[in-house]
Amino acid sequence: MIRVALYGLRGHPAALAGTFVSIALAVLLVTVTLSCAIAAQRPELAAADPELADLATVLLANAAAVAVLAAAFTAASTLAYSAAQRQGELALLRLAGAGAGRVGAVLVLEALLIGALAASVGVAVGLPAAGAFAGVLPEAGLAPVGLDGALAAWPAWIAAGVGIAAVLLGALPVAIGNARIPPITALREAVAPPLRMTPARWVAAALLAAGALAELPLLRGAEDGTIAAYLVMLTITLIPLFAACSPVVARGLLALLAAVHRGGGAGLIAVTAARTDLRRFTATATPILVTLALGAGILSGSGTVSATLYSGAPADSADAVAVFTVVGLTLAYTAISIAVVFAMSTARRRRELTALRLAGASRARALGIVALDVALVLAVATVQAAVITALVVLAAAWSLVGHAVVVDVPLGTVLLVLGCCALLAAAAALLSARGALADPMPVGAAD
Amino acid sequence: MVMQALPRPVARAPVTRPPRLGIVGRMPTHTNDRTAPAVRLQGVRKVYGTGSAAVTALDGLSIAFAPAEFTAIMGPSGSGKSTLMLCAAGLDEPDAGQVKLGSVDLAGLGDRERARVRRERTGFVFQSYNLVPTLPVWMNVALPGLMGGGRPDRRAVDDVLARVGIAGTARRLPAQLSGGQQQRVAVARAVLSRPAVLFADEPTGALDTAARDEVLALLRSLAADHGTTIVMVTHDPVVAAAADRVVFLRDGRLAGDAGARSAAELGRELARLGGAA
Repeated sequence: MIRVALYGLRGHPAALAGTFVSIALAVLLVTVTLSCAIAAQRPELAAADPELADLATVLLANAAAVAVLAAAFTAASTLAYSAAQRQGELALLRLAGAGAGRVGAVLVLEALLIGALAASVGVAVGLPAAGAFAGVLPEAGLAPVGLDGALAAWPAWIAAGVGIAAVLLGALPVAIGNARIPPITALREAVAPPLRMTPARWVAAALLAAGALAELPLLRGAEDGTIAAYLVMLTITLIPLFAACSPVVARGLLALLAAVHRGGGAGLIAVTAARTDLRRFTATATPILVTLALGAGILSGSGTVSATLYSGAPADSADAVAVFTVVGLTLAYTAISIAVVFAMSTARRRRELTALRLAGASRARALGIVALDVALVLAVATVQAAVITALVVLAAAWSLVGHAVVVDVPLGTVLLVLGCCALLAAAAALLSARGALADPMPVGAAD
Repeated sequence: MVMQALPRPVARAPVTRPPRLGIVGRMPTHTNDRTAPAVRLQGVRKVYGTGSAAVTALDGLSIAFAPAEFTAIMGPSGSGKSTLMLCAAGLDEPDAGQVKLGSVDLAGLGDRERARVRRERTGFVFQSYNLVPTLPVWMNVALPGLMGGGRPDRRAVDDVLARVGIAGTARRLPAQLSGGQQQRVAVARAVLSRPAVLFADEPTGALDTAARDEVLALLRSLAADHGTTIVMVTHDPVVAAAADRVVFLRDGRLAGDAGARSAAELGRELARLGGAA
């Protein structure tokens, strides 16, 4: 079985690159932040300045948690997408007599192998990076002096374990969803079934919605100083809720766009292709949704709390620095995921783009259709992130009952993040599409 | 009402269609000269690879295809069949020689203008790459017009789908159709956009005999009814026997050129040239 899994990996290096990169980066980030967070709590450092040590630990632990969450989302969506692309191959396993359990096991094993490989790379790069980071943090006034001397290696193993756990978390639903693929699929042209709200998605969505509702009483009763932390928790609950509902949400938003679009041409082609290939669409939308919603949700939540309670001036400038560091690290992390996911999924549109070219699309027109697709992904992710942010701000207002609530959404920062996402996504998609459009067209051999 | 008083334009008779290319700087207007070839290759040479790995796919080939002519191109594997078609369609660039589609010299055209030629003058029926997998059948049929920026006419598309025998498939995706039905979608596109030239590469490759005969009949009627020039590459003598003219290639050169012949004769000729495909 290991051999089958290995063949799967060798046959689809590009398909699984998105998973690999997201896990390797997460393990790297967690290695760095966790080892620094733990080092800051060493008695000899914490004794000198307990407050500074606590600040460093909270800040770094937050960054680690966010990285793990973002990695789990990205791994889940890229694994689901690549499994959907390999329906024919999985059906062949079934045709050859593999039971559903075996197909599921192959998928999990593959994910574990990628996870292990990615975790090793993450640890190998993360250990020296942690040393460098521990040298810089005290200089910035964010951690006690002598941090680099207090570093231990064991947090790296925790980071590796967390990375592999994240990949497992992403792989399990994919394995369960694809294990029962009918063998007959192998005999037809391999087509991924349309993305739908499966029972598993409904259950996940219901649990997450219940979790978000359960956080509301906690928020209401929270002390002023901890409201921001609860809002971060709410944001982190709402993002997977929206990701679980993406089949309905993305389908609905695209249907709306199609209804509004009156013209023909490239717009109609791009919207129709996105609605047909909803798996690719949501796989690319997920890292953007995570980036935007984390940035906008966390900053708006804490901004509203600060503006209401301290009339604009944050209670503690270190808090603001902490929030910015967490968000900044996350964004840097998700940015790479966005680029990888777009490059990977666009490279797979070769057949689609070639057929468009044959039907009379110039290279510029084909690239234009790819660019329109990026715009659609951004639009759908932005709408979802805006709804999440609005919910977080509403929850903030609700928890601040008795105060004159001042809503503070850092629009400039959010737009900057959106701009970065757009730039990265467009660059990755267009460069990848240019490669896929290389002449001569791949029709027939040199016969 | 007034319309009926006017003399009806002569339908079907003119083989060449009025120019639809409009204003394109370097592209001369389509001529209505019936005797001028629809496609013409002159001294076309194409070499793939370099150095010791170089393979001469076309070796100074000259050939012309008349309007409304249905030509099959046969030859052993590696004889240059597909390269001939790719160069003639402007999908690949010859190393030397000239390719003219109607009166348009392809060598002078940029990517945008070539795309326009594909959209407005040529159609393709290939074994794969014909259809955009993510667009429903009706959009695939209307694609050349859509790419021109127009809003498609669903009625016209439905009519064409009925004519090629796949009515009711408009909203399906290509992958939800059988191989024969997919080929018919490609033919339906050609019927709707009425290209001057249709290029077909093993158009019946994956089909059973009944589906093969139906696709061939559709191609024949395209040539007969719309005056479409058809250039079809095939290794199957039975398929080639449906054509008006059969051209044999070997080593990138012309090895035979004759009118319609029986499948048995074609099979013998192919065997003589060395190899069935």
